[in-house]
Amino acid sequence: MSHADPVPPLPSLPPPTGNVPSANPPPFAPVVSCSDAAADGAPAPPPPLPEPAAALESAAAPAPPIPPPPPAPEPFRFHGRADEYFRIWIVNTLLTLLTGGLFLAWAKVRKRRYLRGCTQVLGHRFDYRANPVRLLVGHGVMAVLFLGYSLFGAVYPVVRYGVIAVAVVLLPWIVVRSLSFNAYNTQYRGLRFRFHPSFSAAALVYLLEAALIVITLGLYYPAWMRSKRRYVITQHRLGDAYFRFDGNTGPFYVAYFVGGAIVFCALLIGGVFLFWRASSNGGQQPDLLAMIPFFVVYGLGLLISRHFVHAQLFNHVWNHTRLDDHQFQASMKTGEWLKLQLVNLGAIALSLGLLYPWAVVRAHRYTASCLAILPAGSVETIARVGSSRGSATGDSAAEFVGLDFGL
Amino acid sequence: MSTATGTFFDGQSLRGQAVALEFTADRRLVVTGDGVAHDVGFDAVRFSDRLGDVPRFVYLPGDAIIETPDNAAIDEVLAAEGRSRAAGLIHFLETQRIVATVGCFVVVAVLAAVLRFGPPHLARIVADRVPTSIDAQAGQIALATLDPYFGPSALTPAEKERVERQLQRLLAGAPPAPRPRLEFRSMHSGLPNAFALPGNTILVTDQLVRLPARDDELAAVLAHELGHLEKRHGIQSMLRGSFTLLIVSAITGDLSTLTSFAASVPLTILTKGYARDLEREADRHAHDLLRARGITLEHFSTLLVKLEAALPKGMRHSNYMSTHPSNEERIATFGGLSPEARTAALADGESSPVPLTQTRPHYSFLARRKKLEGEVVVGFTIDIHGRVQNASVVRSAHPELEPAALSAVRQWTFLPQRKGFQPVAANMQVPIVFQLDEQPEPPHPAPRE
Repeated sequence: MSHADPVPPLPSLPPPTGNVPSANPPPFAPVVSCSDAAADGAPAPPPPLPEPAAALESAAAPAPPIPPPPPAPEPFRFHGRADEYFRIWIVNTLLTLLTGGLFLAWAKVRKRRYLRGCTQVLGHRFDYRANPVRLLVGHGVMAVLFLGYSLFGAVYPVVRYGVIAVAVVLLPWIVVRSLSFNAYNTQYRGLRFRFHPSFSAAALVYLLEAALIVITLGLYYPAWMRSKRRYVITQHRLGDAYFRFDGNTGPFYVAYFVGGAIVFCALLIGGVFLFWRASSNGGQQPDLLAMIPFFVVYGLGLLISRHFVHAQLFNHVWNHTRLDDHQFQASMKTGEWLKLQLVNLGAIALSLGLLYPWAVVRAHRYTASCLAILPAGSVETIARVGSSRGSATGDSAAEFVGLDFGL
Repeated sequence: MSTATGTFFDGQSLRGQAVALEFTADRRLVVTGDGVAHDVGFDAVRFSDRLGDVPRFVYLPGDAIIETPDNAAIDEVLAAEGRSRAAGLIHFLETQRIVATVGCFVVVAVLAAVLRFGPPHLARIVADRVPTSIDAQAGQIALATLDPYFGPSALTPAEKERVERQLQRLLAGAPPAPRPRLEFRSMHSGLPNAFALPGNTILVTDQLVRLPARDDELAAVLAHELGHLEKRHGIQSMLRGSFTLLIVSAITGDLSTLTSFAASVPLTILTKGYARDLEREADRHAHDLLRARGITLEHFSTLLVKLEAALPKGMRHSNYMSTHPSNEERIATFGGLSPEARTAALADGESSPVPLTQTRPHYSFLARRKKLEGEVVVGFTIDIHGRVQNASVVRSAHPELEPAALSAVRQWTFLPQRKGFQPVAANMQVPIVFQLDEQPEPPHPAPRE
């Protein structure tokens, strides 16, 4: 199957003459439609930028062209509402419980459809079209594997090592299948996303580079995170447009270093507290009850560290991601994000988990408000290519490994 | 006939076109717009399900779609067609406030019930079907896992024999096949305890035998452990953990939250809670078994009293975090304990040192030739491990006999003195008597000068 040159022609300023370039396609207009609008009866929607050529039509003397205004970033918007999502979430959870977990696949699809369907960019929203039955099969397989692993693994440790070894080797495949499944089932304006299934690249990132982490005793970890991010982003396509990533490793190291320092401080504080407690107790080992403050401090430290790293890297990664030449822009504030997450945690804890949907909507709304796309021309030049299907087992397995492609 | 508006995407590019949709009476969808004209039968068209106020997608044959915010019109068509009923019902439920409110309570209640009763029930069902060979294998693993906490047993064969006899007493008549076996170990932490391990093994610690536990009390403990073995609590515990993990992950939708700390604390509390009802079941089994063998139930309670007294003060922690039900509850199960019996049990906590090994001193040839006889009184301290410290001679008949007496005493071992079930050091004086006997000496070569 043929596909158009993935890189649309770079926009160029019109020649500074009085000629009306009626035969050539006006700059900034989509390639597919000719400037002769009447011919194919499908006028292009107004391009995001004015046509400077039209302004020169009646000029006798050459007038200097008005430089086009700089392209404006189009923000993402999240239209979800907490009360609406709460009702959806509670009904789906109820049905999941009442059906003994069988409804989980449908519940997941509905929730994802809602969250993606409320995300809007450039005037239109995302569609999620996964077939829940495929997820169900995947869930069943994973449940059986997990039960077998824990029962036999407890009795025959060899089984445990064997399963871990198999899982490690299969990880690239699991990653590829799950990302493919999610990408293929996400649609925007009629075009499905694609994830290019390059197993060798996946093996390189998830096996070889992961081994490097072990060899360097963990020092390679931030670089591996960047490598993973680069792999995931650059393998995604929308139609014939490629996602590109050119972020550096430096900010990753900085973010993870500070994150690690936060955890270390939390451990220090907790440790000092424990030591003080033990010494005032007469050197006795503190029992579980006394350890709870330590766990709380440690847990908070982990949480803060994790969200700090997320916020720092969110901006860096998105600012260096583009879809063809359309640049993304991110402006997440670390302080805001941390505050948001801590409030979420408090709300969820105090409400026994019932305020979870509210927390999700809050987080999505803020994330969307920090994200924008800077189109370099019209995105409507992006055209369709052939697609391949994903598979559900990979998706379910990916849940067990905690992989996530967030849009 | 109903109408709607939306955006048409041909599925070949991201370009959209505003269109009008018309659902005609003869079940056809007519799409009209600038440069777009489609006329399709309803049967060839698919619609996305209603979900809140999310825009609806109409999937035309081929790759074309229409995005429309007009949910009401689509719902009307689907209702008339009788399609997508289940999804429509779910959407209806999602719009009703009352469903959400009631749902909150139901979800919390069902969740609590599932977590509380699900794993134990499932574990029991599955454990019954686990073959005994797996049980034995699990036992090996369990022993190996516990190894770091134990050292080899220092019990004398006589003490081990005592325990075996109690087990025999309990099994008399109808021994389960295969016969449970005993393992003896010394616990590094010094706590008296007995464990039932999968694979039909009961592990008994030295400290339990030397509490001191009377024969009937040993029988009571063994009866409790036999209860664990018979009901396969070892496998059940393992399975409960796995099922809990599985259920929590299904509820939260993914396993990654389990690695997060927040979920693991409740899990620990849950599993500890489970363990208590297993202990109660073992207690009930012991109760019935002791009655059947004619052993007084009170001995279980006296042992519990002794065990509690033997714990160091800081360890008598709250019931909530411990895996056993409270002592009061268990004593009540076994018919209560009279104050006299309690005092008598606690009195067992006072005991004098008991000699375990007493090497005989070497009566040297020289001393015998010189016909040196008499008493050497050796004073020493028995430390809390039962070993002799600071051995010194108090008085002796002949100085030449002293070295032999001292070196012998230094090798003696004892069961240490106990106050309140805790070993304490004790001072002792022992007379060593050297006496020539009437038997002729065996011939030996004359010593060279």
